[in-house]
Order: sequence, then structure tokens, then C-alpha cells
Amino acid sequence: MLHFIFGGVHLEGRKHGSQRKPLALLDMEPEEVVIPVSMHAGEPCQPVVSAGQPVAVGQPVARGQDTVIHASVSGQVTAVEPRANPCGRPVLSVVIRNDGKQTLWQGAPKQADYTQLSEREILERIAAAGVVGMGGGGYSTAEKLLRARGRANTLIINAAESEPYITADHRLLLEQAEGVLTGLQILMKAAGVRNGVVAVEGNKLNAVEVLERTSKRRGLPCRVCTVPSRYPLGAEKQVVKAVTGREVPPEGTAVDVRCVVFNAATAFAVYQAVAQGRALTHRVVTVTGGAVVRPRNLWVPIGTPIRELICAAGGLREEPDLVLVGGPMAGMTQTSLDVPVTKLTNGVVCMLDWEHAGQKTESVCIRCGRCVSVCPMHLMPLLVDKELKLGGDVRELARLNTGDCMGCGCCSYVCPSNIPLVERMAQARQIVEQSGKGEEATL
Amino acid sequence: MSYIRGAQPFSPRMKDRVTVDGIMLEVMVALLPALCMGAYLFGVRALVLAAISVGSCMAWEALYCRWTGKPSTVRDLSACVTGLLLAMSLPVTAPYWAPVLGGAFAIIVVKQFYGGLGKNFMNPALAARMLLMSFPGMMTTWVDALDRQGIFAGADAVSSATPMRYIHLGYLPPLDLRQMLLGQHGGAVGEVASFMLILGGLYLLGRRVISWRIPGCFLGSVAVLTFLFPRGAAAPADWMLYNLLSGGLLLGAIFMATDYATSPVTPRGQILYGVCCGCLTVVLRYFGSYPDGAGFAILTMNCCVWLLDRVGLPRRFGIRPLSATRAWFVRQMARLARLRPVRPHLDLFGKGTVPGEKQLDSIRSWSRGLGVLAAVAAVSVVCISGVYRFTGPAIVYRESREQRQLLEQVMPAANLVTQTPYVAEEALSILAGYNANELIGHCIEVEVQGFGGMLTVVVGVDTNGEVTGVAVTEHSENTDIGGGAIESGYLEQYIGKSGTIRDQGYNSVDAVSGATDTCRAITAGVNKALYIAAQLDSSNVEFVDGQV
Ligand code: SF4
Ligand code: SF4
Repeated sequence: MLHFIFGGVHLEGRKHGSQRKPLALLDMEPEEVVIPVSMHAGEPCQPVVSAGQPVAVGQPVARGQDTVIHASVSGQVTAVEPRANPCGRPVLSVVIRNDGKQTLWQGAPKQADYTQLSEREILERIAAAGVVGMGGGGYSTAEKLLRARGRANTLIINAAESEPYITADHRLLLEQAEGVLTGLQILMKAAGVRNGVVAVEGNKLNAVEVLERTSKRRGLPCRVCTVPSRYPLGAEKQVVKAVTGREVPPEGTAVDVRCVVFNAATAFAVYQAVAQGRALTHRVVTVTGGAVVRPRNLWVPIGTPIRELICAAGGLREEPDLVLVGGPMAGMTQTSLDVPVTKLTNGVVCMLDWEHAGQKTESVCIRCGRCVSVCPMHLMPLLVDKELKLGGDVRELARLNTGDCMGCGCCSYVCPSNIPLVERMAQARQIVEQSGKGEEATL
Repeated sequence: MSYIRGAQPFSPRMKDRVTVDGIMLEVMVALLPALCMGAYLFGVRALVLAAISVGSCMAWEALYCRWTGKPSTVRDLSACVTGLLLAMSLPVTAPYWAPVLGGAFAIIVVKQFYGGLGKNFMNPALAARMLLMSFPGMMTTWVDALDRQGIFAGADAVSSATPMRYIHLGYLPPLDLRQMLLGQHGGAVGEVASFMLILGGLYLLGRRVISWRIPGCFLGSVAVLTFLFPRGAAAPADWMLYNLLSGGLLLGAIFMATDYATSPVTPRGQILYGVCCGCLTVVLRYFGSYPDGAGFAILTMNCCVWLLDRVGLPRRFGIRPLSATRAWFVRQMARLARLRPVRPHLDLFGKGTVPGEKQLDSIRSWSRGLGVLAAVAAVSVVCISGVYRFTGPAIVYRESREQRQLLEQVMPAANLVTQTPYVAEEALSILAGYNANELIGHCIEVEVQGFGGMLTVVVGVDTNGEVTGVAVTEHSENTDIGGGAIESGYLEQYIGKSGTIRDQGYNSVDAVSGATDTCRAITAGVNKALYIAAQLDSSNVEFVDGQV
């Protein structure tokens, strides 16, 4: 059964470019990969290699208290220095020159039958493989499982993928359904949860079919839940609401309502880590957009510059207006094509001028109420905007629960007056957080 | 996707195509069918009126922006919509200066003085309509449908009774439901064509320009109330349907109440707004002195939008209503525990706040919405029914019903009476009777001395000077002695008589035995009326300016 979701917008999917393209390897191995030491939520890792040292695929190159980062190609470390990063600031990165031999690291764990492993061993393997939430959250998966143990009763694999253009998870489900479902079983075992659900958007019915078939034939019990194709169902709170009807309290996480949510790519990474003993060194990335000649879904080593991805997709037919890492709703604009693919990158979108909104001049709010009726977090962006224009009274802003905004961008998307409401919400949140009045928020 | 908390959110790179002028255009498109139907029913004058109204609204907007040095906002087309709505709520006979004046009021006073688009608190078109209503005669002359008006006609058009008039009096209009749907009756240019208005509404719903909440709740509550409390002898379902289809209700509910700037933005607020508008409309229709209450109801609720938005603030995601209420109680208990007897400090005019703004929060949590509105509605009901009880409308209402019965007796051929520009000293009132736009005579009310006191006699006189009927409306005769004289059997004898009626002999009526004095008095009254009728066109009758 599905539960009612307030708000959200129906977006033009624009997924046709890449949704029928099978996963493919890069035609040419990248000559150099740049692996940032911070690809997850929390403290950055510390590099454990230095320039000149040889590394093998799957060898840890940086360690931190939250996670581990591995080399995705074999070769020689040429530098450990700040390099351009999709987040906009240079980040300390390990630069590896690829020798093209794909030597595997000898210290990696062996293949194993997950049913024979204890929960402790599973958690250790997941942690050692450096698996983090690959949907964008970047929380360490092992830690999330630890926190969920004994407190959650539903485990949800989020394969909604409601962002336009991106088809990475869709292809992964179609081609690696068994891996994803095995990952689900492993996660369920590790979290001590009986009830596993895969949430897929209604516009990927072929993936639903594949999942159900695989689950029957391989004996991997799971429930496939088809959620409405509405952005932002890919957000954690919304998926939990749609599947279980429970609402995650403000400032809370899914565990507070006895759910734990993982992305489909994360589930696959868990499968690889536990069953095959492979660290998280590769991931699926969709390269698409009107400027790309042959949109594709690629299986790429982490750290590959996006320039190589675009080359593998046939290059650019025109100078793109915008290059985004991530989807067009919440993705980040890039100024350079040298930024690397990280663990969180699910797509590279090169948009032409007709595809994106462009800069429109802001006009006055006509009180149409669209922003209120699409906000999935039940907020009132127009009142926040008005309050900020009146001078931004902290108490007044706190009353409007600005801290709940998750930056999905629905309000900006619909506003006929082109008011940058997401930015206003962020601004208001900052004001409230700085004054520490957040707890005054009304219910 | 990047939902990392605290990460800088980036504005979406994709954008809905909807724009402000696009929305306004859609509204105008939705209004067009009703306007065209209005033009078909009332003639080209309706179109000219609309053009003048739209043009003047845009001109006022441009001029105002020019004068005040603001960037011109004409291109957002909102003035166009205001103009169109204003024209559609005018009668076709309205003089051409009316929309120009109304437009000035709507655009400059109601909209721009309050900060322009999105900041006005009253619907400009509706406010202008109410202003124009204060001009005598302009908003009460409704020509019948298919009585098409040329471009320069209008001033001498014949007024007809609108369905709203009948409903206000407690009758079903003498019209088919199909006629009601197609708009074959008198009324404002854009209000009559119910079917077209519904079509326009469906278009707006389909294009997601408006949500179902306001029109649905508005019409729904009118439907429920009229179904539960029908008036007169009408069947509840009929009464409900006629109520829904008549007057400015559909135009108001679909196009005016949903005006963005003057309606709530929160979903719950919109529902409350719709329900309150509907209830107020029914109350005003039943107890108000002006036939149609929809416009007043919307204007009244427009002023409450701020409150409704507050009350209807969405529930915070992740907090269930029950836990919200519980948390509110916990907070209030904590507050009570902190309570110290101090001098009350009322911070009424703090910066950026409105008097009492803080208190509203607690009211909202406490009543979860309905309490305040119930109170507001109750107060309005009490006020309105008090006004109804202690002032004229009730009497006016009863009188007009009696007047219709009287007309049956005095001038059966007439289907409509209107006031005339004539007054005569001896006559209490003179009314003109029409049958299908043709003057067929006058009803003259006179007073004569009877046996037991003054008698009031109404005499119908046709254009040939012949009596068409006589009725005695007030008397103080002893019914045992003079009763026979005021029964219809006797009074019918006067029909067809003209000139001066004698008490006996040629051109006389047979007196009722035992009531001779009363019969004489009535005859005297009829003679007086015939005399007045004969003199109507001559000089000793005063002519007063189009007093309706
Ligand atoms: S960005 Fe924030 S305010 Fe806007 S719709 Fe999303 S959650 Fe609501
Ligand atoms: S969507 Fe834009 S114009 Fe509409 S109410 Fe919100 S802020 Fe105002």
C-alpha cells in the first residue's frame, strides 16, 4: 500500500537519452585518477600513501574515523595535493597515474557466502570496503547499520531516482537486480530487519518487473513498492512516508520511525563488498544532456575526471551552457571538466541553453500559493521570502520552521515570479541557526 | 542528488514554464466563453464595455506607474484580468464612464496604493463593482436576455427581474434550468452564462491555475446550506440548483474568490475561506437587503485572508496533529508555571508586527483552526440577523411579495411593474406596468375617506384610460357592514370602466347592499385614480429625475 505524499512536482523526465543504454566500461582507461579524501559526510580522511608509492586496485589510500577510501586503478601515486572537486572548492586528493594493468590488491578479503558470515563480519567487511550512502547523503553505511540494529523494523532500498536525466540506478536495477537484491538481504541481516522493501518510481515498470522476477527465481524475498513518479520522492523522508506512512520527525532520521533507507547503488556496493570482497572503487554514472553526442551509463573508476566520461559518451556536439554533476534539480554546476567522479556522483549532465531555466529576473510574489502546495516539507517559502524582505526577524523566521527545508528546489521550480526561494530558505536557515533560536519553532 | 543538510542548496536548473503573464492569460481565456455568451445575449454593447474596461484598467496602471516612477507592470496582464472581471460584473446598460471610473478605483486605490500586484487585500474588480453600486440605478437596471443593446443604447432600456430577485424574495425563478445554465435571463454581462463559467472553471482547474479548494468549498457549502434550508415551497434540490446558478455566485466562486492576491495560500486556509464565503453568501442572500450576497461575502472574507493563512499554516512535517497538540499543552503548562503577576505589557505596535500577532499562534494551536472561524461566522450571523430583525429589509421583503399578489389583481396582463418618473399629489404611488417591454398601463394607489376610516385603493388603468382591476389594500371598515364591498366579486365590476363612474345610473356599478358607503368610497377612489391617469402626461404632474 502506498501512502499520501503532500507536495512535489511532476517533472519532465528527459531520461530517454540514456535509459535504454546498457552499462558500459570506459572505452579508454583514464590515464590519471584524482581521488578526493572527502567523499562522505563527516571528517575528511587522512591520506596513507605518499607520492611515488605504487598502489593496486582496492588498496586503501586514505583512512578516517568514518570510512576508508581505496585506489580505483593500479599505478603510481604522483601527488597528494588539493585538486578541483565537484563541490566547488579544491579538496586534498590522491592523484594516481594509471599503469593500465588493473593489478588487484592482495590484502583484499576473499569472496564469501554471506549467509555463512556473522553480522559482525558483515559490518566489518562493509566498513573496510568504504561503503557510504551513494544517493547523495554520504553517511557511512556500516555506522548507519549499527545505529539501526534493534531499532528499525523496515529496510527500504531507495531506487526512486526522481531527478530528471539520471538513469544510473535504473540501469543498475535492470542489469544487476540480483546483486542489488542480495545486497538487500545482506543489509537486512546486518541490521536485524525482517521487512525489506525496494521503492521504485512508477516510470520504471521494467525495473519493477525484473526485480519481482529475480526475487522469485533466486529466492530473495523482498517487497517491490511502486511509488508515484514525483520529484522529490528520492529524498529519504519522502520515501519513508510513501512506503510506510511514517513521518520522520524534524531534525530526526529515518531510524526514529523504525526505518532505515539505503540507495540502490549502496546496496550493490554492499553486495560487492561482502559477497565478492571488493572495495567501493567503481560506480555507475549517467552521462547525458542535450550537448552530449551519445548519452550513456558508464561503470567508471572513482576519481575519473568527468572529461573522460564525456569523451566516452562521444564528446560534445556543442558547447554546453551548463555542466552539472548530479541532476538538474539539486546538482552542482561545474566550471571545469577536470573534477573527478566521487562516490556520490550519479550523473554528469551537459545542458544546452534550451534545456535549463537560465537566469530570469525576479519579480514580485503574486501569492499564487504554488510554492506552498508543492513543498514536501509543509513549509511556506513565500512567507520566508516576505519576512526576509521585511528585515528577517529571527523569531518570525524560526516560527516558519526554516530548518526543515531540504533544498529540494520544488518551490523555485514552480514560482511564476522566478523568486529564488531555495536560496531564500537557505539564507533564512542560516540566520536562524546563527541566533540559536531554532527550538522556538512552532509545531 | 544532494540532500546533504547544511550543504548549499543550488537553485534548480529546470523551471516550470508557468509565468505571471501566462497565468493571467489563462484566466482571460477561461473568461472569454462567458463574455462571448454575454455578448450574444446582450448585444455588442457588452463587448464594447469589456474593451473599454480592459483598456482603461491598463491605461490607469500605466499612468500610475508613470506618475510614481515605478517600473511599468502593464505587461504582467493583471490589469487586463481586473478590467475583464469588472466589465463582466456590470449590467450591459451601464454607461461607458462606469468602467473607466471603476477601473481607476480598482487599479489605483485598491491595487496600487497597497503596493501593487500581490499586495492588495481586496479583489480590485469586486471593490470597483461595489463602488459603482452606490450610483443609483446603474446596478439595478438589468435588461432581459436577447434584448440586445446597440453600442449607444442603454439609457432607456427596460429593466427586468433577475433570477436573483426572485430567489431573494423566496421564489424559484420562472425559468427552466436549461435557461439558467445558458443564461437566458437578465443579469450582469458575464454572470448569466453559468455553463460557460463552469467550462472556464474546468479549464482553469485542468491547467492547474486554480486548485479545487476555493471554488469547491465555496459552491459546496452554498449547495449544502441551500439544500438543507430551502425557502418558500421549492423542493430542496431545485432551490439548491437555482441558487447555485443565479447571480454572481459562479463568477465569484470561480474567478473572483480564487484571485491569488486576495485568497489564502495555505491549503487549509483555502478550504476555510471557501466554506466561509459560501456560508456568508447564503446568509446574505437570505437576510440581506441586496439580492446577491456573493460579492459582499468575498469582499468580507478577503479581509480575513491574513487570519486564515495564519490559522491554516500547514502542519509541520513529522509532527502528527495529536503530538502537536500535546506539545502545545506541555509548552503552555511550562508557561503557566512561569507565570508571575506583573502589570500586563501589551506590545501592540512592535516592529513589523500587527496588533495581537503573537496571541494568534496560541489560538491557532489551540483551536486547530475551526474555533476562530466559527466565532467569526457566529458574530456575523448575529450581526446580520440583528440588522435584519430591527431594520427595514424584513418589511421591504414582505411588501414586495404582497406587491406581486396585488399586481395579479390590479393588472393581470402585466408581468412586471417598475416605478415611473411621475408623481402626483393625490396618489400615494404610481407604478408602470409592462408586458414584454410594452407599457400597458399604470397602477395608481390612492387614499379615500371610507365609512370607518381611510381606505387605500390601488387601481390599474390601462393606456386607454380603462380600469383593469381594483384592489383595496388597507382599510378600517367593519367587515360585517362594509366587508362585501372589498371582496373581489364587487371590485370586478369596475373592470373596463372609464371616464367618471357614477354611483347610480349610466356608467355605474351595483353597490353591495349594506355597504353603500364603502362602495361609494371605492368608487371615489377609482375616479380619483382615473383622473390622475388622465393627467399623467400633462403639466401638473411633476417630473422627477430617473428615480428607481
Ligand atoms: S526547497 Fe525547501 S522550501 Fe522549497 S520546496 Fe523544497 S523543502 Fe520546501
Ligand atoms: S510560488 Fe512564487 S509567486 Fe507564487 S506564492 Fe510562492 S513565492 Fe509567491
